[in-house]
Parts: sequence; structure tokens; C-alpha cells
Amino acid sequence: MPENASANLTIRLNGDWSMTGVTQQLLPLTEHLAALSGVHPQQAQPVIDLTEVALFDACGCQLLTILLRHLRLLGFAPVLTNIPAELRGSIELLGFGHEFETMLDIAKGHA
Amino acid sequence: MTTPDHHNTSIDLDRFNAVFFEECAEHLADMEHILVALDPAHPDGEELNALFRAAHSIKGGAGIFGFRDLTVVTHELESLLDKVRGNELGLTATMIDLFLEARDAIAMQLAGHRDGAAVDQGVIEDICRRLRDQIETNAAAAEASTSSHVPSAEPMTGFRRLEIVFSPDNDIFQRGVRLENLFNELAQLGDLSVKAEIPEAPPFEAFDPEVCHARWIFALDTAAADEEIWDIFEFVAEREQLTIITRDEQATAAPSPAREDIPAPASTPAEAAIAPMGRRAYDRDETAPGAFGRRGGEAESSIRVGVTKVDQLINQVGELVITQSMLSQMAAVLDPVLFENIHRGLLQLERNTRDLQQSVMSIRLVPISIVFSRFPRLVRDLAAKLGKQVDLKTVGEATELDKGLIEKVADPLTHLVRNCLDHGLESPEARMAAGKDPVGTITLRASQVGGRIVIDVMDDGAGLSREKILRKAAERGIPASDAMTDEEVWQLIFAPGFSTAETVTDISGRGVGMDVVLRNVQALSGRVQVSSEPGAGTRVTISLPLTLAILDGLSVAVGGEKFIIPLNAIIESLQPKPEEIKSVNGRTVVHVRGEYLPLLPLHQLFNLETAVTRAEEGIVVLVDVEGEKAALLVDALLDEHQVVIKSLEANYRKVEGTAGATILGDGRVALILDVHALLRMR
Repeated sequence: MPENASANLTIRLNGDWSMTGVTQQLLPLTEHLAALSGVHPQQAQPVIDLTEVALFDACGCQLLTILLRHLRLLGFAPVLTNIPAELRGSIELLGFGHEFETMLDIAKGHA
Repeated sequence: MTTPDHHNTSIDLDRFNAVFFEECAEHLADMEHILVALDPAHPDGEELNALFRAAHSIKGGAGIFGFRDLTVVTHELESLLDKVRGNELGLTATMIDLFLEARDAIAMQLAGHRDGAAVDQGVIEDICRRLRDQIETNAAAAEASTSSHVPSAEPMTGFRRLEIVFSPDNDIFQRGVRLENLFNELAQLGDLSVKAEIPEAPPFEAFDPEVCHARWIFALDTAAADEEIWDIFEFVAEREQLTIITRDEQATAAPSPAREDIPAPASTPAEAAIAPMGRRAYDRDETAPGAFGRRGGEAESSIRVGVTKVDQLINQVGELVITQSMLSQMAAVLDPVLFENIHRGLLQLERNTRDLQQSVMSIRLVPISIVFSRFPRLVRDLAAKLGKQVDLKTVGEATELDKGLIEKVADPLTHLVRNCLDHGLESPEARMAAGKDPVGTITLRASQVGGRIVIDVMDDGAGLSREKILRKAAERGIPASDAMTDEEVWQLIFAPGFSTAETVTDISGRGVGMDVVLRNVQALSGRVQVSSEPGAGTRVTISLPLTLAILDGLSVAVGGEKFIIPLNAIIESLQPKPEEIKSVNGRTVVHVRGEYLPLLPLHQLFNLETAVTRAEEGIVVLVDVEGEKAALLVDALLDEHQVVIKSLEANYRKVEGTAGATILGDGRVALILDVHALLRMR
């Protein structure tokens, strides 16, 4: 994570990121994205903190992938941080590791 | 961020679980039905396949919904069934017994999850061990007998590198499929690497996270056959959604069949013995009864709806009928010429309302086969326990009656069938000594007679003993005499605590059966009749109303009150001449075409003031209930109605001689007569 990363760009994910709760994550994500709309991508790096994610499955993995792709499309270089070991295992098992490859490497330092 | 709504999630899961429980119960019922009818000497291949499908479907569903313990017995059961249907092992009577026990064990586990009932783990472990023993014991025997004739198949020892592309339906998440479990299972087949791809996805703003846009590409180094891979995906993927490509093949002794290949029918018995049929060949048709995991997009011929919703609908239609009836009555005073359109519209409304009511009522009707289907197992088990040989025949299984009645008539019928077996039918030796077939027959027959459903439970046993019944009645202080007719004597068996059984068994003979049968049936507005012939058998007839919710009736006036007489009880109505009214033994009767029918003046029975107290001044309605006739004296006939029955007991109190009440078009309440009960009141 860059030294100058602003704390207010941290996106804390939590709760149910499985099929049973994934739709409830959309609204807060939209709010976070709205908060980024005035930020220049070169001046800040979104840090996605996964510490408080309680449930996670393929459905949540897909949403996380789409979120990261969207951020990159906006010009940001997001990183993942504080990935619980179990969640990291799910990402690998479900075959999404390559999507987060660089971010996971960075995240190792934070986990 | 938001906190997940665990309450809603729990409700959703409960709903999914309830569907699984229902399907599981249906599979178990199918299994029992097939097993009881299965002939171990000549098993039907299709029936074995259906058994396998049922077990396999329960296992698959249990795995998907997270009921891991349910997969344990089903797995062992399925393994044995797979070998039997593939002709690897021969079916035996012991196996059928074991399958039935396994089915009961699964039912116990199901009840544990669904109702919180206790589950005996000892039983589960015992049944699993015995199922495994069957495979091992029989496999050893089969190998010994076939090894000299059949060359063994060469084992596959080589590894292959496979590329598997899995492109699931986009509703796979919504179906609750746990992909992690699938991938873990796949990983057990060899060295696995997984790559998820999302080639096309809508922009974030339009993204629906419950829709799956991903596909998965697996690289698998394995010695497993394609069929094993198909088995893992069989509940979640159609054939075209899974592609298996061999990238590299090493030292493969016996190439596996192409994935589309279906095993060819064995041309000789020896080939059949070594060629187990592949699961997918049987389970390809997932729309077949018993198949699990039907896709949402496929056409369904039926839907599951809660009984409370149907009852709510029936009540609402009932209220609609009353409103329509009120409108008709209000419009009756309007000039038919000036208000022709209104009259025409109201007639149309009446027709439509009645059609709607009949359609809605038919939703609640279910075939009596639902109840009859429980008896083959019961008869089989009890006959074995009692050392009797019994042939159970069922007739009229398609006869439909109200779902509420079906549930409540099951227990009385079970009592009656148990009685037939325990007391009615003789032992094979006694039957042969009496010159009868050693195999006794119990017949369950259902039919619709007029507005009622009639269920006969018949046996060809020894029949009821008049002497024994009278003796027992005297011993128990039940009023009885030798002068009683046979019909009256047979009715004594319904007295509380009455039993002629010499010994008390756990099957029947505690004298708590027949009185409970009578009470339960009467609670459904039903009747029970008994007929018996020494040496030829006994018949118990239960007669029930077709439905408990609506009734076609004739409204009649008595004083200032109105009553409804059920149409199916009415023969005719007439105004008697003075010479047709007679007095016999102090009771007034009406002479109609050579018959003397007792006169029942309704005003007397219900203590009403009326100007019409003599039969020749009013109208007599001739009624017939199961052969018993009477003449009801009323002031006047009013109209024919289809009425919605409302419970008097629930809203007021029990009124003798009535079967409930209804609300008429003018908003007044009318009592619905229970003609059978009226005949008892005279």
C-alpha cells in the first residue's frame, strides 16, 4: 500500500458476502463508489479491507471481482488488505486467485 | 456497512428446507411402495432404477441443503442398490427387508431435521454396517461364482491430464449450490487447479450479484473415469454445460468411454454380470419422477401451495358466494323489464361464482391412494409378525376426497386394517382346515356414492361371532340381549373398551380401537356400518361427506326459522292427504306408496312456534340416509342453495340434529340439518 494512501479511501467490507446476503452489499458499495467520484485516481489508492467479512462464497467472490474491475476501469489501482486465511483459501479454491493476484501479493504484507 | 438480515435469510432457508423435506418424504414413500411390491426372484429393472433414483435424489438433495447425516445411510443404500441394478449382486428377500429398514432410518433422520424428533444413532450405524456387509458378503460370493467364467476387466492404471470447462446456468447461485463442495470433491480425484473466468459481465451499476456470469476451467491430473467427474456435477450441470477434454494420456490400459457413450445393453448374461450400468444412463431424464435438481426454466406440471393458502381462498370464495346470494335476493324486488340488464348480469355472476367455487373446492380434493399407499407395508410387516398370508387389494384409489378428510381418515382405516389382520383373518392352517385358500384377502375399496365417499374395509376371514360378542358385552356390563338383530350385535363392537380378542397383543386387542374409529369418523360427519357373515368375512363401511366446506341443500321454513336439508338426503317432497297420516304404536307415520315412514315434525324437534302443526297442513320432505327413511314435516319449501358450511361449535355451541349453519342471501343464519342425527332424535 502506498505510504500516502488516505485513510478515507479505505473500503471496509463486512458481513455476509455469500448468496444469502450479497444483494445487501450493493447499496453500501455504491455509496463508497460515489465517494470516490471526486477523487483523482492518481492521487489516491482504494484499500479494500476484508477483516470483517463473515461469510464468503463464489457469489461474493464474483461481486468482489466485478468491484475491483470497476475500480480499475475508473483508473484506480485498488489493493486488498487484511484477508482472513479462510477467505484467501476460498478465493484460491474457487479459482479467482488470478483476478486478485497482484493485490493478494500486496495484501500478504497486511494480513 | 450494512448488517445482513439474518431473519430473512433464515426464513428463506426454512422455505427451501421445507421443499426438500417434502420431496424427501415423497421419495421415501415411493421407495416403500416399490420395495413392498418387489419380487426378489424376478425384480423389475425399472423398479430397481426408480429405487436407486429415489435414494440418489435424497442423497443429492441432502448434500446440497447441508444435511450431511442424511447422506450417510443413503450413500450405503445407493451403493448396494447400484450393484443390484447393475446385476453385480442378486436381489434377495433379506436385502428387501434391509432396504425397508434403511428407508425407515432415513425417515427417522428426516423427522429429526423436520420435526426435531429424536434420532437413534445406534440404528443408523447398525443399518450402515449391515448394508456394507451385504455388499461385501454378496460380492465375495458373486466373485467366487463368476471368476471361472468371466474374464476380469483390466484395471485402469494410467493418469490423464484433463481440461474441464464448467459453464453453469446463471441461476446456479440462486439454487443454493455450494461450488466449494463440488470443487473439493473434484480435488479428491487427483491434482486439481481451478481458474474462474468472467468473460462478459454488465457494468457495476447494472450488475445483479445473484446472477452467475462466471465459468470455470479445471486442469485435473487423474486416473478417474469421466463418469466419476460427471457424478460430481450431475445435480448442477447439464451435459452441454460440462466439457471434458483429454490433454495428455499416459499408460492407459483401458480407455474410458467417450462421455456421450451410454453403456450398450449386454448381449449375454455373463456380460451383464460385469457391466454395471452407468448412473447418467438412468438419470439423464431429470424430469422423471424421483429425479432431483430440475432446472427452474423447465415446465412444471404442478406447483406446491400451502394448505392454509387454499383454505383462505376457499373462505374468500365462500364469502363471495354469500355476497352474490345477497345481491340476487336484493335484486329480486326489481322490475325484470326495467332492470333486465341487472338481472342478466346477476345470473351471469351466479354462474361464474359457482364455477369458481367448484374449481376452488377441487384444489382441496386429493386421491385416496395417498392413504391406501401406506397399507402394503403395514400388511406385509404385520402378516409376517402374525404368521399369516395376506393379499391386499385396493380398489378405487383414484377416488378423491377433501384433503382434511384424508388426513383424519387415515388413523381409523389403519385400526380397521390391523383388526382385519389380527382378528379377522385366520391362520393359513385354520383356513386350509376350513377349505379356504391359505392366503387371506383384505380389500380396501373407495367409491363416490352421491355426495358421499364410501370406503369399505373387507376381509374374507372367519367373520364376527355373535355368541362371543354377546358374551363379552354381558361380561362388561354393556346392555345386550339375544333378541338383538345381527346388525345391532355388530354395533356393540363400537362400545368403549369392548374387545373379543382372547389375548392382548401390540397389534390390537386392547379394546380401544373400534370406539376410537367410530368417534373419529363421526367427528368428520361420517358413519360406520358393519356387516359380517360367519366363515365368509367382515365388511366395515365408512361413509364420509365429499367435502366439509360446501353443501347443496334445500331451504325450508319452520315457524320464523329457516333450515337447510342436504339435497343428497332428499327423495321427494309432498303434501300428504289426511288418510295417509296414521298412528302406529303411538307414533305418527306417513303412508307413501306402500311404505310407512316415521314423521319428524321439525317444529317439535327444535321447539319452535308455528301455525303448521299437522302434517296435512304442511309439506313432508322424504329423506333417506343409508337406507333409513323418514318424513320431515316443514311449513314450506323455499329454494335450492349451494351453501357454505360454517361451524356452529366454533362460533356458538353444538346443536343436536344439525351439521352446522350457513349465512343466507338475506344475511340470516340457517341451521343445516344432519338427517342421520335427526333420525336418532325421534
